[in-house]
Amino acid sequence: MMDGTPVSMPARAIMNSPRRIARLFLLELLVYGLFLTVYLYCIIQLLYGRLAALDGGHRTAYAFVALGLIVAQGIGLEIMTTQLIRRLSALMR
Amino acid sequence: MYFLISHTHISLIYLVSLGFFVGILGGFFGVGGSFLAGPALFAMGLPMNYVVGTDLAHIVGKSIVAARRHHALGNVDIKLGSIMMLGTLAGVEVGAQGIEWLKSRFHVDLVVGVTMIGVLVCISVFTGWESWRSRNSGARGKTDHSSVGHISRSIQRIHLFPMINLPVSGIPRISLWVIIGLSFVSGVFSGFLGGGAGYIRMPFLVYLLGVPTHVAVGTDLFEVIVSAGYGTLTHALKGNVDIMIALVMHTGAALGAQIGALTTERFTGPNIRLAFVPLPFVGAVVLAYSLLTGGHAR
Repeated sequence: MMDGTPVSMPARAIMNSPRRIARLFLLELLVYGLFLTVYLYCIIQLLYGRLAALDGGHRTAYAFVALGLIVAQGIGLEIMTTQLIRRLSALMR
Repeated sequence: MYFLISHTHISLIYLVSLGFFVGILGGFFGVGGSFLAGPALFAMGLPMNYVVGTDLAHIVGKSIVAARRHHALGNVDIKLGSIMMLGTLAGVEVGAQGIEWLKSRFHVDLVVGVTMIGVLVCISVFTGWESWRSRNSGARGKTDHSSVGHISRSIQRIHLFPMINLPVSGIPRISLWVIIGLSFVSGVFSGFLGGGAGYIRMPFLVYLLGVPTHVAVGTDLFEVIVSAGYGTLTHALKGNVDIMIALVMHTGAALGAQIGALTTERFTGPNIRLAFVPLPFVGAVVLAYSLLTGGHAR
């Protein structure tokens, strides 16, 4: 398959079987879940105390940092989840 | 996990799962999901002022994901969304002032709660009646037929300078003031009742302006980014945002929003509207329960 040989119909049917798709989907979700766990751990370790201090002492700075963080995470996770969905769509075809 | 800013204990898994669920709803229906996420956060013991501000922050992140996906699918009318922002922001301020006025004269929780229940039930009943009629009136396939299309056609015929065209929404001529006026009303609801008021704006776009349902969903999400962003900023300045809770919720919502947005491609307009029917009703029931019991589930 990797050297460009056409895939036969039975082989394609095996590749697209619901069980295989479900397994790939779960695998992708697992990878996403692992990434999120590491990401959240880093965020909590690096930012949390500083954000709480900022909220207590510099409310205006906190407001802008909070908005910046959620926008940055929105863009970052959009790129990541788009790749995830694209990979899953390619596998399902 | 203990959240330092709001001084609340909430499970991370609960937040990610809640985000994922409201993310699917947001991507599919173009709503922020505050009518479900709000009571769900409140039930976990988050104070009401943090519920409103934190939910808005999470809506910003989720709407970025869902709006970009809808944009890729050609479902965002940027021109319409940009015009609507003007009316919405002005309306949000008026709604927030209304809350301040009520605070000094009446029991604000009861007034806002009962108003919101009434609005949510009306939307649910009307959308259910209309989408059921549309489904049974012969519209099939990818057509986006509405049985109350005469209302939007009458509104589009209002000649009030300047008239503009919205090619992405398939509207050849409509008054700029009509769009600003309707978005102002939805903004008042947003400021008065909290959240992004997507449950008001989405039906407004479809039934009053005549925007196709798929485009209404995408455009609403685009507009929510700015209105919820503005709300996040003002609430954070007042000390009502625990950004850590929003960031955790958003990790689940990002994936849910993608799945929800992609799923719209498999449904016709009337079917999306029919599926929308239970949401405001569920929100009304949850709110009524909160009002009657006076608060938290734990």
